[in-house]
Amino acid sequence: MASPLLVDQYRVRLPIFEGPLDLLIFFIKRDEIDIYDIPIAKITQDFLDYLNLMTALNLVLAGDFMVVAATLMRIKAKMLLPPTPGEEEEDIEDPRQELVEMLIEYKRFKEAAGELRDIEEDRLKMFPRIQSMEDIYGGPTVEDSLTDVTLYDLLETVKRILSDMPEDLTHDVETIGNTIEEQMGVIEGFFGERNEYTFMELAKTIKKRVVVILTFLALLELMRSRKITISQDKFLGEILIRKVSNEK
Amino acid sequence: MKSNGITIDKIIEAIIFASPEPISERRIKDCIEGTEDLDVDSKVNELNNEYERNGRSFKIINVAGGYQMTTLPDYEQWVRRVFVARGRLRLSPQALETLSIVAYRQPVSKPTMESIRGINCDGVIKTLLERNLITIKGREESPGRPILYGTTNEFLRYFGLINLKDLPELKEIEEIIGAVED
Repeated sequence: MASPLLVDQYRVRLPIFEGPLDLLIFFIKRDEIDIYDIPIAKITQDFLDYLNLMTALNLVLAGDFMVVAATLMRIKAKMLLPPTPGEEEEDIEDPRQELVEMLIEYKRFKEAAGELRDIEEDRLKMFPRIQSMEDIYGGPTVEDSLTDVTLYDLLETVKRILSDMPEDLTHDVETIGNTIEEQMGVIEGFFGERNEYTFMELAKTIKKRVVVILTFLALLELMRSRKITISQDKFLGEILIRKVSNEK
Repeated sequence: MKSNGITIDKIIEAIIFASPEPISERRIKDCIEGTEDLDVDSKVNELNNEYERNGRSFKIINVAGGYQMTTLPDYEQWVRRVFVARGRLRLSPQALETLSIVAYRQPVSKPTMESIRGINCDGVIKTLLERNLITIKGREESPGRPILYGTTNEFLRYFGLINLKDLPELKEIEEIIGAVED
């Protein structure tokens, strides 16, 4: 896949043809072909030659042209097949029928577009008498600004607002109510009548993970000041917290 | 005939002259008392005939169901210079092709436009929507419920059409074949 920059660099406008059907119509006109008797093999070859040239120049347009190229080749293949035995000559539908209908339909609108172009040219030469609404009525009112709003305007506005919105970069930092000092009190208070308990027993009473960590820090602090001793019988085993007797 | 040479024609002329936007027959009648059966269109025709006789540089046209005074095309090269900032861009051939499908087939979906043109229409539809020449009319009751598009009043104004019936007739198939064989 080429980078967008490269595609832009090599994009070449082919101004003559507005699409694959337009190209086919050009061949038909150029070679004075009867639209009801299109020489499929020749026109397919012309079309593919042009497509090869275009593929090298403009990948985006080529996609739509590929579809028509495939249609042409399908028709060509169908025409090479012998008719199904037993079928009457008149019953066999010309494989080109669908393509012909497409071309005629497209041609109708292409011509209509030409007529619209003429009307547009004439119209652009005429200048209507225009006065600014503001000169007459003062500034626009809320009602005025809403009269011509369409669904599309609303969608565009929402899209613009959403894309203009500054990205939310804040992160809420939750303050922890507990302190190490408080947790030291909790550890000492947890002894009650007992002289020892496991850290797990205490941790089960704590809801927040961060407070468990805080309590563990408080435990280390109490150890350092020799208010408690801890022991662990095996690696990753239960931590037994024991009160240090003051009488000693 | 009223006093001081004031006639119904002249009143209609004054109203159209003063109107900041195309003004409908209904509103013109509302401005003048006792005119229920007044034929505004024929009065406008009389005014236009008078302008033409006197070689005036403007006429009254009917766009989007309203009357409006406009300069004649012959004066374009000079009048254009008044509107320095308002350089009106012509529509691209692709936009015109797509717009003609919308105009004649509305309401019409993008897949229909694309199957007729044989080419992707995304960009063109966006341009036409931005120029307010087409608008969303609803959704088609078919698989995927594609959005349906139709033309706007701005479309009529842009092309100076009275209404959609004012569009040139879509050519019959026989005429098209003839054109292809030309």
